[in-house]
Amino acid sequence: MSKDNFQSLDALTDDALLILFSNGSQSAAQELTRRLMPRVFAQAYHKLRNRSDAEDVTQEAFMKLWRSAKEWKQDQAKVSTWLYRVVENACIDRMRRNRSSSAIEDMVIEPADPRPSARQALQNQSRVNALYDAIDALPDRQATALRMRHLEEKSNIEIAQIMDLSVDAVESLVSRAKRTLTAQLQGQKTALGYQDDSVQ
Amino acid sequence: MTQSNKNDDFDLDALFQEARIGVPRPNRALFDQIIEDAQSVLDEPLSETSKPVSSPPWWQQLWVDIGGWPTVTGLATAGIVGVWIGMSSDLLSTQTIAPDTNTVELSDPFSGLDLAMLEG
Repeated sequence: MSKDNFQSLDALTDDALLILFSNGSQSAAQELTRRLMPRVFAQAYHKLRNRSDAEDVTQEAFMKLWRSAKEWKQDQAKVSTWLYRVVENACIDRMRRNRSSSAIEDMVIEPADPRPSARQALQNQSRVNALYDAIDALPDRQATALRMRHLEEKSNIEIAQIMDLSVDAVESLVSRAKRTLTAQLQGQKTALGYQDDSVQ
Repeated sequence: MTQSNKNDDFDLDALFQEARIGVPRPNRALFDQIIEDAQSVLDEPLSETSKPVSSPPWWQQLWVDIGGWPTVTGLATAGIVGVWIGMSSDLLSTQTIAPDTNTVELSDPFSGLDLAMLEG
């Protein structure tokens, strides 16, 4: 696809691109994918914590989008909102399917790498994993709102549209979620290596 | 990671940032695969419309052309009514009801015709 084509499509909304795609434009599909794929993938990754699963879910979600293009109505939800819900549901399905296999993977103990940089990277990873675990332990709506706000950096207005809530309700959900997270992680500070950081 | 828990508050924002940075970039192969899927969806309607559509047999077409069941039922009813009227009029033409006696006698309405013809 030419650069000029990309530039002209750049100005179009997601909805307009999807309608263009349903009329046979592959360029519109490319522009939509370029625009939405990173967000969709990040959403799936934050939820699934696994690259391969996140890629599968991203591909599935886009396939659903292409298939729904013919019947797409402009007055229905925004493409990004629709896609968010599709990804959310696909992730939940996949987590259910993966539950047993991930339990087995958790039992595999990685050999310790003695290098300081590797140790640091592992410590960072364990912190992030602790954060993800704490988010997963939150009530569903709090977890969803918090993930969107702080991991995917969506605005409160956008979150309100996706979750079909008022902006105030979103703020309240995020705020409660953060309080719970802080309380949970506060107790794990030493285990997560914060003391080590202050020493280094 | 930034160590900013000076007031004994857990620095969530720093941890969120760490999680955001940790997300790998989706690779080019995924992009290509998604575009390939899009193309396959675009190709689907063409393959469906290219299938030859078989025309219905002539008797089905005729059935539809004449109007189907409603027409046939109407025609049958009209036929039965026609036969009934035909039979009834034949009977009426040979019956005279006598109001005084309540008796029914058969008479020929053209009985005087032969005489009239003789007089001519």
